[in-house]
Amino acid sequence: MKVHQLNSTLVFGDAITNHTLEIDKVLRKWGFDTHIFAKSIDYKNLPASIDLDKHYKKYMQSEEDLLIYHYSVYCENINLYKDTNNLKIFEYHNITPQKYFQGYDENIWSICKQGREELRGLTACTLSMGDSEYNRQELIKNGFREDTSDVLPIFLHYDDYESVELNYNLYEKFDDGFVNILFVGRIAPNKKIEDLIKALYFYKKINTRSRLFIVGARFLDYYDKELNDFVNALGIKDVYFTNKVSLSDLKTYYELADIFLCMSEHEGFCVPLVESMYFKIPIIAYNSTAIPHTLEKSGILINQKKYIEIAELMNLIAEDEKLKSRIIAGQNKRLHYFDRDNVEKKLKTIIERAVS
Amino acid sequence: MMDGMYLDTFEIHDDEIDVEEIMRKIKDNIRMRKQKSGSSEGGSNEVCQQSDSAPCNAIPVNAKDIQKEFDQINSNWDIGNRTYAISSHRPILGRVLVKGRQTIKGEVGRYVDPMIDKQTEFNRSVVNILSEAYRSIGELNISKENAKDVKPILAAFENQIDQKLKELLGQIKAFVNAMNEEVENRAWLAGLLEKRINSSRAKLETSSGALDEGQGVNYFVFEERFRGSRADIKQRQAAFLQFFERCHAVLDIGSGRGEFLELMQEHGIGARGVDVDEDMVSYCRAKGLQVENIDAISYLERIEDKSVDGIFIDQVVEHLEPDYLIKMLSLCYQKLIYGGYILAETVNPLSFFSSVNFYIDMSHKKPIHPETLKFLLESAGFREIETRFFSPVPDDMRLRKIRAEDAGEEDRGLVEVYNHNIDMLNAILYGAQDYAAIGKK
Repeated sequence: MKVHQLNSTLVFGDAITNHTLEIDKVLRKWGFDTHIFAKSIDYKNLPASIDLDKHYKKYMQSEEDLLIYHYSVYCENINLYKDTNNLKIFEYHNITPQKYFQGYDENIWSICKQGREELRGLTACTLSMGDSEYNRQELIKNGFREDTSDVLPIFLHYDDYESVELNYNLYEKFDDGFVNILFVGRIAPNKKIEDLIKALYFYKKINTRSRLFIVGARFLDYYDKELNDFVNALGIKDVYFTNKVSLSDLKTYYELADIFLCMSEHEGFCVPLVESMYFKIPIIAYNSTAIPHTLEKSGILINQKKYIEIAELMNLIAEDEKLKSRIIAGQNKRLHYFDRDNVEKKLKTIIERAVS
Repeated sequence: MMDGMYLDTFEIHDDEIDVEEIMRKIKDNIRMRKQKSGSSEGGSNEVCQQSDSAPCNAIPVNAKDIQKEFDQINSNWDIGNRTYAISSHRPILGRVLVKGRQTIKGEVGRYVDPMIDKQTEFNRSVVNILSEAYRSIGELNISKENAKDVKPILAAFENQIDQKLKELLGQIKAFVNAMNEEVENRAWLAGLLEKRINSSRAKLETSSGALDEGQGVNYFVFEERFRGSRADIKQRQAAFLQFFERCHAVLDIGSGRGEFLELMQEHGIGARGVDVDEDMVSYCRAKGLQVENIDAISYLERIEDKSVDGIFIDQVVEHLEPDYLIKMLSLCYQKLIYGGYILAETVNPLSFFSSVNFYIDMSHKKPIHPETLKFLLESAGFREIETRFFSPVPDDMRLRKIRAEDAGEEDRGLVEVYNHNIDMLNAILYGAQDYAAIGKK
């Protein structure tokens, strides 16, 4: 019995790619013969048996093998998933609703739309799973069977952060007593980057010695321009768009941060929340989509975007060590749920369910 | 206490954090800042600098002072003044004075000298002890200085040994844990695979047992052999999708290997199936399809009226006894919503080819004439009934006609008659293999 994983793309540094590689590593540890396939591969020094998806075809006839299909974007290889005779696990990582890309990128808009529309036609599987409860619920809404659905949290790469060095120049430059507010994520409209800027604008009225790091890849020219114009119109300083950064820089930004602020209105899981827990940064996040599921009872949820109050809350956290420690203690508890051992156990149960 | 605090703006789920208090502070701060906003903004960040003077309860004594004190003790310990000579500068009175003083000295000395001697003795002892102590302290200080150099080396050494031991222990532990984990994982995988093999074997035994007892065939294997691949069936059945577009609750009676259920799911049509064959049901469920192991009448009797919006019955009616079929169609009508389609496809008995093949399947009861099925649907209450023929016999298996151009001019008439007859024969012998009767409620 072989276990295959099929993805749309494998890209270095991408959370779903890392998750796929971790599943592969764990399955191999358990003694399975495994493969990973993808439509496109952009990854040097791949650590496992990986190939283009056309090579999966030769395994499709087997009713003994197991396929784990990762769905995060529309991809032609859904037909391989549909036609395979393998036992099938469908893992849903969510797809951003297309409305967020309207007017920004026609191509992304169309791919998101197609991806979400296809979902109803992908329900034929042995077991479905979301990487968050929110994603599992979305599967059920789209016709997947509830009794054969489950949740498998994303495997996180803490080891990478342990092994990489800080960027000391960067650290020294910004370790200057300013309150550093951090957001990590792609610069996309669903992430509501403009709302982060608004929050800083009001916080600066309380504490001028503060700054905002927006760490993530910029890929929508028009949205980028809008954000730059917005910062200029408000006339605030200390907003830093870093674009995509190295792992060393990312670690440094996490180490520098005093508060992790997330105003996003659509997240399927939100890895940076868990990373912030790991780096012991108090989290303030807007209560939307998967965010309350990932935080569970930790961090602080924003129910209404009242910026003056958000600014005051940031000020309280920055000044009140006791409050800050209490929030971090709650986050530490939640972090255990994402422990590698827990996720491995969960994966074991899921494989058992699918195979038995 | 409720599970977490839900206030207008924020939500915190921690019993030890008083969210109301936080909100009160936030509101107060906002009010305060608003009030201040009229005045200059400066001075909001007052820096409180505390003097860092350390408490000073003792006079500091340093080594130099001690040396000075010690020198003084050393030179003054002898309080007996033995060098003192009694004399006087007065030439005449001096003699008397000297004599008097000597007398007094002698008399006083008799009482005082022993005390001075004792005090001097005591002082000497004290100074000796102090000297010894001072010297010892000096030596101790030197040792201490030396020890200072050795201590870190020893500590580092101890640390190193400790570290090495810990590392070694860690390595042993990790090795043992890894071994345990490896054994556990292999055992788990073996268990999992064994379970899977046993379930396949059980299935096989069930089906072969059934064959031995003459109770039927393994229909799953049978379909694989004679009906065609799932892909072929799906391709053929795609023509039926048009009757179920935008449906949410289609019932597939005798769903078999689930080809049509899968097709419907792929097209976003909500559907479920029923089948009496346990293997088929297991197979469909493994593919994530909603199928129940139950016969059609029992299922239809159980569900609410007008709860399905389409009914699909493919290659089923020919397996049923007439009474069962009539009752089933009547229930289908009862359970279907108004405007919903029923589609029943079966073997076409008008074709000799398919009539012969009809008997390949031992579970077939009898073929049903299209007109009969049409009548039965009508009797159940369905309207707008039509029949459509599917699955033509491939041309290379049919009787061939003569091409008119291959015949001479004089034979054209004969060829025409011949070809007409061939058409008639082909229709009887090699007509469409299946037909579907389609009705609407």
